[in-house]
Amino acid sequence: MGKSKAWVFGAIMLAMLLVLGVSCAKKTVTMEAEPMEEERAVESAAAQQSAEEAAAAREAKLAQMSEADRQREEAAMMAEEARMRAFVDEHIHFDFDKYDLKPKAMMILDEKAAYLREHPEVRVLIEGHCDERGTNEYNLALGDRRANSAKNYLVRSGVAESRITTISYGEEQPLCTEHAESCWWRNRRAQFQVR
Amino acid sequence: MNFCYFRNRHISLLCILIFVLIIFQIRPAGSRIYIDIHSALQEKIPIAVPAFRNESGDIANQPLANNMADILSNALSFSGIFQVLNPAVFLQDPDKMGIEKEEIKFSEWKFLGADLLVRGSYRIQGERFEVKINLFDVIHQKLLLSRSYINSVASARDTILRFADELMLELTGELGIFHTQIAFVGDATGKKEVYLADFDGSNIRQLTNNGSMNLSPSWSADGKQIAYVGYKRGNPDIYTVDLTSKKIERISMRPGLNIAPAYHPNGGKLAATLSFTGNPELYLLDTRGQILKQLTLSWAIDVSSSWSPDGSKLAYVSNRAGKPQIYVLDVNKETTTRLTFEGDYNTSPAWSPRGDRILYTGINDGKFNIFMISPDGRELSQLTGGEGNNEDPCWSPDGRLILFQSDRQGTPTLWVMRANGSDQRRLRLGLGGSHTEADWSPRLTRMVP
Repeated sequence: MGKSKAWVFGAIMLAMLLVLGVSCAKKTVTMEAEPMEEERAVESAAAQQSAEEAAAAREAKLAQMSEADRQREEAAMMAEEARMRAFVDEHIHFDFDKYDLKPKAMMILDEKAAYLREHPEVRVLIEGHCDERGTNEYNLALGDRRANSAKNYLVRSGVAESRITTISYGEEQPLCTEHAESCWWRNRRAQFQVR
Repeated sequence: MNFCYFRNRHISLLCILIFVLIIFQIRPAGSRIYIDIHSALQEKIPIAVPAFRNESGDIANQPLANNMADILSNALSFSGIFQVLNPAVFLQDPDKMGIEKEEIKFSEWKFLGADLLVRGSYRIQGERFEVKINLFDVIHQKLLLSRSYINSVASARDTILRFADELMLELTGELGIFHTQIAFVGDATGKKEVYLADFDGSNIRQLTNNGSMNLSPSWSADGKQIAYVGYKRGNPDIYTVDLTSKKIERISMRPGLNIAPAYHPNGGKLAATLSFTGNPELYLLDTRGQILKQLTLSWAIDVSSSWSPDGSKLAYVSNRAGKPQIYVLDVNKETTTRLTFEGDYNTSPAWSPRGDRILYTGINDGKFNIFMISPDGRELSQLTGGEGNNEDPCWSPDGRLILFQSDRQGTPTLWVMRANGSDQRRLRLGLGGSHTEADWSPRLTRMVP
């Protein structure tokens, strides 16, 4: 969560620095943009593909613009990509043995719903996960309910149900494996994949 | 999930009938009843199993003398019923001692504290392997059981286990569990796959090998099929595998969960949890995955069912009261009663083969442990405690032993205990990684290769 917000901020800052750097050194923007691309840790194949497509589209668009327009457009597109990254990276969390949405989870889902409304071409897979405690089968069911809680909230927020699929992994795919609450809270999550 | 079944009610009744006959008719008045099949609290019976006698006298086959005694000793110890005496205290060289009643010095065995004595001999002529084994009541100086087998040397273990099964039938009125296997989930390859092993953890075989994630193996009541949950196609779907032909079928692949398969004790159908409606509910499916009946309808989670041995009732987990608790559904009357009220988290029920107990996993003081309760909600007892988390119990088909997973040594592994919670020991599985979600087979007429 905090990490992702920091990333968004960092991305915006980098974009601004880039703009400054360009005006001083008068290098072409497209040359600078590529290392930025490489720095991104792209997690899923789907996300990677969309990132590549976005980059190609951006370059094509930038080639036809004046430098000032290019700079503004560049910053806007960086911010847009940061939103997409946040969509995938920001998980929502649950209490032990619960699948009701906490206020913070709803705030995150509001952002995701807004993103999905603005990007009607995006389809999403919601994964439900649990911590290691309790029996595997019950946790599969709990993970299913967690994924569906998130799905239902997005549907109520105006996202077409047909764009959302869910899967439960129960306790089988933890993000961390220490046997303590410091780790368990991270594992009790729904996470989002762009398809 | 864990559902251990007895083969069927008729055999169960037959065994009880045999037992009654043994007590009242076959045994002469005053003869002792060795094992009360209804008591989980009996003391262990001291039994002596000296090395078998090599009748052919050849050195090459001499190791079999100890090997066969070891196989039998290990099986009898595993049953939790016998205390096998340490051969170091025996007074005579077993190879010089005959196996017939007239040749046995009962007073010596009595002095050593043995109530029972097994004497075996073998003779090897080419491919022909003859074994004779006698079981004696030391106290009454009486031959209880005498069996001869002709087989191949390669089948020595199977022969000994066959005798062990018959010994149990003689003493308890019910066959032993020495021709059973367990299915479980292991992650030694880095992925969760379903494995099979013999009852004692030996002879491990990997059943699934698809590199995805495979969970919740469940034996069919005839021991010929295993149902499991596989993520091979990207969703938790229910698969069945025929253990003879090794043919795998994906039988339920609806959107959402297709999990927790539990074969009906009479065969032909299974209970499972499906969530295609958006909520996990229990359904009755045929073996091709068609829905025969919806079993639950609630806003809550309904999962992890275990059939009563007569197939009329289903114990399962529901959180309809806010926390997961065990409920019992009468499938024909369509009535549901809540079984557990103690504690905030009770899951993974396992109905006993005799129908008189239900095991489940509960939580107290932040740790998961195995509990046992009567189907009427009385006689609650805690079977594990103070040693890590203990989960997912299932029964041996004779209802004397409980198999469960425990993380008391770190990674979850499989453990066995007696039905009263005593005698907890780790199952010896020669396999790395974690071992979870075990299910014990019914008695098998033919061991799965």
